[in-house]
Amino acid sequence: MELFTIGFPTAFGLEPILYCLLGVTLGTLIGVLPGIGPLATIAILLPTTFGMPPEHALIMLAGVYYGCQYGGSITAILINLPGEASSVVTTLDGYQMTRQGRAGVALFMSTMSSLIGSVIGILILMILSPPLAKVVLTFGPSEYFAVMVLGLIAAASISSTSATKGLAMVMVGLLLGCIGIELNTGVARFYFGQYQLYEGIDVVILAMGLFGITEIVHSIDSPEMRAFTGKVALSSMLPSWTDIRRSVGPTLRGSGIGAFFGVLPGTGPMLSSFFSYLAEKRLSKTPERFGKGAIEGVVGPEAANNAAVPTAFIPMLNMGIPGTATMAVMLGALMMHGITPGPLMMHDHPSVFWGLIASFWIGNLMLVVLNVPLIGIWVRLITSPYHLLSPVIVVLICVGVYSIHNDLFDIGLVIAIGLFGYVLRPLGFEPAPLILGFILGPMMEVNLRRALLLSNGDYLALFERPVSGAVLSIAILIILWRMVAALRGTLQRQAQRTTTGV
Amino acid sequence: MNIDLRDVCAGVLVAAIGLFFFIGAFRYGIGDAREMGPGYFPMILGAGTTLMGVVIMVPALWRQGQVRLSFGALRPLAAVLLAVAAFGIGLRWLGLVPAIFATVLISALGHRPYRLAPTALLAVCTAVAAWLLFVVGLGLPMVAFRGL
Repeated sequence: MELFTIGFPTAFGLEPILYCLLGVTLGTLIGVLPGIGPLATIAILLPTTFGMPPEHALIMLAGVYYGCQYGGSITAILINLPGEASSVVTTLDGYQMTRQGRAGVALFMSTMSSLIGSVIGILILMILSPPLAKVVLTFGPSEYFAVMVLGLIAAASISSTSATKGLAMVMVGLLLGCIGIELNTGVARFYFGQYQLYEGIDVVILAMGLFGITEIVHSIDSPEMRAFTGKVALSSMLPSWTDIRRSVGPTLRGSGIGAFFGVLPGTGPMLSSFFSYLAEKRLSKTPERFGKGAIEGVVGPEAANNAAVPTAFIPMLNMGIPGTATMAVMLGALMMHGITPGPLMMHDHPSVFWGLIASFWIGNLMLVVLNVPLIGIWVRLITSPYHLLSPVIVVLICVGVYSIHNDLFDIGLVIAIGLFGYVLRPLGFEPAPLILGFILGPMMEVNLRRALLLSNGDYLALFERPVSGAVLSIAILIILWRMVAALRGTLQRQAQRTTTGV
Repeated sequence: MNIDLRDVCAGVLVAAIGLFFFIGAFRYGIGDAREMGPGYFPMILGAGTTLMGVVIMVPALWRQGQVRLSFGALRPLAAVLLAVAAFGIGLRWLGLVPAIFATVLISALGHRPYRLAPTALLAVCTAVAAWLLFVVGLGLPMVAFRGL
């Protein structure tokens, strides 16, 4: 097993353990604090990793991502505010448990189910990667192109409230990805006379502008947070046998749901937690307990959102195709360190691949320690004064952006992108599909060019190869399905209007 | 007037971006599907994006908006963007420590009420900590004080 011969030796060492601890602690912190999410945090941290070996950088950045899934549930349970988007459903029953004086049990059980979800997710990542890599090795340019098209369409139509607007964001992202020197001919495109744009817009700057700046502005804008005045004693965390018995099924089902949706493009932790909650409510013999402090409604979604994190790495590491915006930034991080993920990743960079997996094991155990014995720290942090925190985050964004190229041009660029990102939200656009399109754009162009060169300019040839044909057909079906659904919604609304006589 | 202002604006924005890239693409040589020129991919995408913008905009011209278009409070946005700009200007002419000092003071303007004393203290602490971490610790090429 490479995990033991390569992975653990890479991840066990003073430095990697420290970076892992730093990652999961920061992750928990931003998870606890509403407002700033994992994507912006990873982007802010990325420039500080330039001096590290890629193994350590990836271990730390991944730690932020799964650490924040743990942290988000603390805020959700204690003050009924989701610390992260993926812990929205945890508020439903988690906060009710707090009101019933069972905050300790809710926190303990959510940590345990998170751990189990993560373990199952990691196992699936380990089991699925080697055979998947073998399949992907047979992929030609048309297959790569098809998978990217499917990923973008799925991400756009599932993650956004409006499929049309999601697709529009993907397209804008693809267009922004065209900025800079075109790889085949060396022609600089759309650089607005600025030589700094020859290499394109840096993904870190785009992510900081679209997520970092807008998240800060919105969190300043939102009202003061409610304080949690109680204390969580360790002794109050002990669950009863009934709690444990009720949690086993939902935790395992949630892990399965999360692991499945984690692999799929565009879904990620947030949707898996929703699906898990719906499934538990549907399956429960006592659905009326949901929303009133049912432990099943806490452990299922928490297992699901944690299981979705390691499995989201499967397409990113083995195909080089990220399924979510956070994975897109993670891919950008790897490429900055000179590593191009793909089917040869396990072979070419075994220490990065298996070191990351080993760090998942270590980091999740650290998180249990951070979330059970040390819970008091986070409870106190929930009430931390946000007005002192946001200026510090602005400074971190500034230093991070400047340090990429040591060029003031990037500061101006991040202001422009931040303004653009701020305008998008009131117009009903979500920036996540844009980032995904931006990262995949140049890769899609290269693969489309190769595929069309091989087929002598025949687009239909893309459908003739079995894998790419099937994948593209699924993508088209998704679009048709969303179009029919949208059309039906419009017709229903019009029918209502005519019957009510408006 | 029955018009969904939010989606009309959204569609116009998307169509404008698409059109910009579509027109711009012709400067770079289109080629054909067999041998894509540098302008081929952005041309197709630009056309598609323009179409998406129209699809978002046109139906919105004849329906009532469900959500009122509102850009929220502009004060926090202005504070944060000005703070980032102040960082850039400060770093160029004054050095890292004064730049961060100004960034903290300005970005805190987004909050109400504005408390000067704790903010100034925070600004000093952040500036010193950032200098220790980034310049002394990580060795980033930035000057603490310039031109003094």
